[in-house]
Parts: sequence; C-alpha cells; structure tokens
Amino acid sequence: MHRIKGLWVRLRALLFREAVEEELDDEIRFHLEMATEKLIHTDLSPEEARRRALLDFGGVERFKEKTRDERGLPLVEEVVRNLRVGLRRLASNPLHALAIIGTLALGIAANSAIFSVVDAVMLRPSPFPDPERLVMLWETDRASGTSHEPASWPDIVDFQERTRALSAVGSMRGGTPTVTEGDTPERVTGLVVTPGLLEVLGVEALEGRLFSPDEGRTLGVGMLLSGSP
Amino acid sequence: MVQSNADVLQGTLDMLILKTLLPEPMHGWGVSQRIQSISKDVLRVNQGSLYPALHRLEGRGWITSEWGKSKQNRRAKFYRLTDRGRRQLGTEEECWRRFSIAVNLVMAAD
Repeated sequence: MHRIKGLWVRLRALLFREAVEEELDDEIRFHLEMATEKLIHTDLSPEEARRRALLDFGGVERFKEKTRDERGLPLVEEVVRNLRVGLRRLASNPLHALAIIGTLALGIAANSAIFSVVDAVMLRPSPFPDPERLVMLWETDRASGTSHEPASWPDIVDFQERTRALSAVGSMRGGTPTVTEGDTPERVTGLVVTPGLLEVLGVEALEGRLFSPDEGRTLGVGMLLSGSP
Repeated sequence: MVQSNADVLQGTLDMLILKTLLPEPMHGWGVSQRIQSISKDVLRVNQGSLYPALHRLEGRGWITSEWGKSKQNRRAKFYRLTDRGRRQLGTEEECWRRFSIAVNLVMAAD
C-alpha cells in the first residue's frame, strides 16, 4: 500500500512540481529555523546564527534543480532532441542528405504509384453491375498472329446476332468528335458505342434517354450523349 | 567519515535514516539531530543530502510522510517507517555488517 503511495509521491513530483516545491520550501524553512535557534543558543547574534545556518544549506538547490530536470515529459523532450541532432547532421553533409532524401522520395513515389494502380484495378469493387459476367472480347489476326485486335463492324454484327454464350453484346471505341455550339466548335473526347452497351454497363441517363436499338443500325448516325459537365 | 560536515555515502545514509525512524516518527530536523548526537557529532547530515534522501525513501515506499506540529507548535513534515521500510532496514543492516567485517579484515591483514 505504501508502495502505491510512493509511486504517487513520485508522480506528484512530476505533475505538480510547484506544489511539491512549495512543500519542500516549507520543510526546509522549518529546518532552517530550528538550526538558527540552535546556533542562537550558542551565543551568536541572530544574524550570525542565520548566516551559519544558511551556509549549511548545501545542495538543496541542487536537489530542486534535479527534480526540475526530471520533470516534464522526458520522452517527448528526448525525441525532440534526437530530431534536432539528426537535422544538424543532415545539414552538415548536404550531398549525403540529398542522396538519402532522393532515394526515399523515389521509393515512396514508386510505392504510391503501384498502390494506386493495384487499388483501382484489383482492390476496389468494379463499378459495373455483375462484374463477373462482364467480358471484353478481342480478336486475333490469324494471318499475322497479333492478338488484342479490335473487331470490325461486320464481325460485331455477327457476334450480336449469333452468339449464344453472351446475353448482350456491344462494342465501343474511342473518338474525338467536334461539338459546335452556336459558332464555337469544340473538340471533345468520347466513346462511340452500340446501343444497348450503356444499359449493359449499368449507365443511367441523368436527363433524357439513352440510345434506342434503331439508332445503331446504320453506321455513321450521329447522336450525342453528353457526359456530366 | 571522520571529518565533520562529512557527506555520508548515499546508501549508508538511507540505512541511517531508516534506523533513526525505527523508534518513532520524526521530522527532517529531528532525524539529522538524532544522527549527529548518537554518532557523537561525527556524522553531520547536510540538508542537501537529507531531504533528497527522505524524498527518495518515500518514493520507494519505505517511509511515509504527513504534515504535523512540532514540539514548538510549528508546521513540519513528519516521516514514519513503513513495514516495507522495516524489512529494508534489516536487509541493509545485514549488508552493512558484512561490508564492514570485510573492510576490517582487509585492513587487519599484513
């Protein structure tokens, strides 16, 4: 039980330093008074007695300073001190510091980039409904052997009409049509899609409607579907 | 340790304080006076050593303190030995005994 009280005494010295110091002052004052009185009884003048007693004072100030030093958060102060030492060392050897910082920067950048890609491709859930049922088809040119070739329009039509493995087939390619509003033409980026593809992908119209099946029958029909501004 | 105003070694001082508090609780001044008188003025404990020692002993739970009134009705902090302190005193006494015997042996050898 007294061990706990001992702990409390030490903690108190750390947290309530002023109060503890005041108490110590009171304690010392009593001691000093008693010492002075004792010397007075030996025929010394009160001033001389007090002076002698004070001489005996010794290292109480040192003790107070010691408790002062032990106060505060030694861990935080030590961390700060180590930081300062580290910064000083770096500053004294700038080339070395540059090499270290450069290596760290490259490493961090590479890691961030890799993670961003992995996150977008693998870790995040696919924004499309039923992503396990969504496939992307490419063609292989038997003559040259190149794979990942885009399909020609007749092939797409064949796929759409004849496939039994897929519930819906659409195609898309990138395009940069020019939009003219009034007098100002503007180059925009977009996708050229077959009607039905957007529904398959779960895209909903914010305003108006998406393409109807008829509108994709002849190539070259220009319909506009704006993305959100 | 024959000089007056000598600073007693820390560990030994702890033991002396514990021993002095064995019979009854005392304030710091009382402890220093008792040690001085019993040792026939040889051991004079300086305030600079005494109060740090008292606080250290209290921190270890060997003594406990409370404020009270001195014989002259002045406010003073009284220290009292705890059970753990009593046990610690026994341990230190034993260590000291062995130490002093050893020193004497060396000094007595030719």
